[in-house]
Amino acid sequence: MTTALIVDDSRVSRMMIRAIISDAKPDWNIIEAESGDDALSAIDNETPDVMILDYNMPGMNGLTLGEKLKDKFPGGKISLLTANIQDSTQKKAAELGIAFVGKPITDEKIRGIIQASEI
Amino acid sequence: METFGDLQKDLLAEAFNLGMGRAAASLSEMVHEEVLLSAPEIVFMNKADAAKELGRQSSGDVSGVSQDFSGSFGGEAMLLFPIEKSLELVRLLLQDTVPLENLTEFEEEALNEIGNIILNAGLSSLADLFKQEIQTELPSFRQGSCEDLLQVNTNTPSDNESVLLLRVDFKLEKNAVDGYVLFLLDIQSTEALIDNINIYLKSINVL
Repeated sequence: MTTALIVDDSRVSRMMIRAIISDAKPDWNIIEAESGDDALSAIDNETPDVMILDYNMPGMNGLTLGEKLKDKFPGGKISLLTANIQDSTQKKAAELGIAFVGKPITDEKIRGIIQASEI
Repeated sequence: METFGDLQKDLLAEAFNLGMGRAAASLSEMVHEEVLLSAPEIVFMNKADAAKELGRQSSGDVSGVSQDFSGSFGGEAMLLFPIEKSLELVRLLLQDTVPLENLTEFEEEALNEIGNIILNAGLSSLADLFKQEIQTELPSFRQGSCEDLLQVNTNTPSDNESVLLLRVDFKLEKNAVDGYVLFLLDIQSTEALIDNINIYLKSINVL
C-alpha cells in the first residue's frame, strides 16, 4: 500500500490535502503530522512513499525535515508545499532535490504531486 | 533618513503592486473568483494616526492575520477585513472540505492559512525584486478594534513615531467580501528598504 505523509502546522491545510488525496487515491494510507518532530515520530514504523511538507512550521522547517527524510527514505518523493514562494526558498529546495509547489492548495497541485510520484 | 523621492516611491508602489498582484492571484485561486485590487497607497504616518484612520474607515471591529517579517528590512504585515466577512471567506475556502455547520470551528485556522498565503505572496515579490531573503514568522489571528490590532498605546512614545504604511484594498467580485493588506515598517527598516530600492535603481541604470 502506498503511504503519504502530510506535514503542516495548519490543520486546515492538512484536511484539504487529505481530502484531495483520499478522493484521488482512496486506498492510500495517509499519515498527518503538525511539525517536523511529530512527523519523525509518526513514521517510526512506516515507509512513506509520498511526502508533502510545509516550510514554515514551529521547530524545524520543511527543508530541514526534507533533508532528514531524504536520508531515511531515499526512494520517497518529497514535495515542499509552501506559501513562502521566494526564489531563495525554491532554489534551496532544488539544491536538495525536493520538488517545490507554491500554496494555495488546489486539486490540480495535489493531483500533480500524486502523478509525479507514480512516474 | 535617505531621500525618499518620487522615483523611489514609484518603484516601491510598483513592487508592492506586483506583490499584491501575486497575492490576489493566490486569493483568487483559493476562493475561485476574481479579486479586485485598489491602487497601492504609500504614506508615512504615526501608528496611532494610522489606527485612527483605519478605524474610521472600517466602522467597527476587524478580523485579521498578522505576520512579522525580517531580513534586510522587516516589519509587520497584516490582512484585515470587517469582522462579519470572515466566516464568508472561510466558507469560500472550505466549501468542498468542511460541512457548512462546522465552519465556525475552523474559522481561526482557515483565516491564518489565508493570511499566511496572501502575506507571503506579497513579501515574496519584494524579496525577489531586491534579491533578498525575507523570513516570516508564523501567522497570528487577531480580532478587535484597529487600535488593538495595531497594538497602539498612545502613551507609548514609539507609537507616535512615523511608520511607512503600504496599503492595498481588495474586493471579491461576486461575494462582497472586502478587506485590505497593510505592511508597516519602522524608520530603520524603511531606510534599509530605501537602500534596497536605490541599489535596484542603480542596477537598471536609472539612478
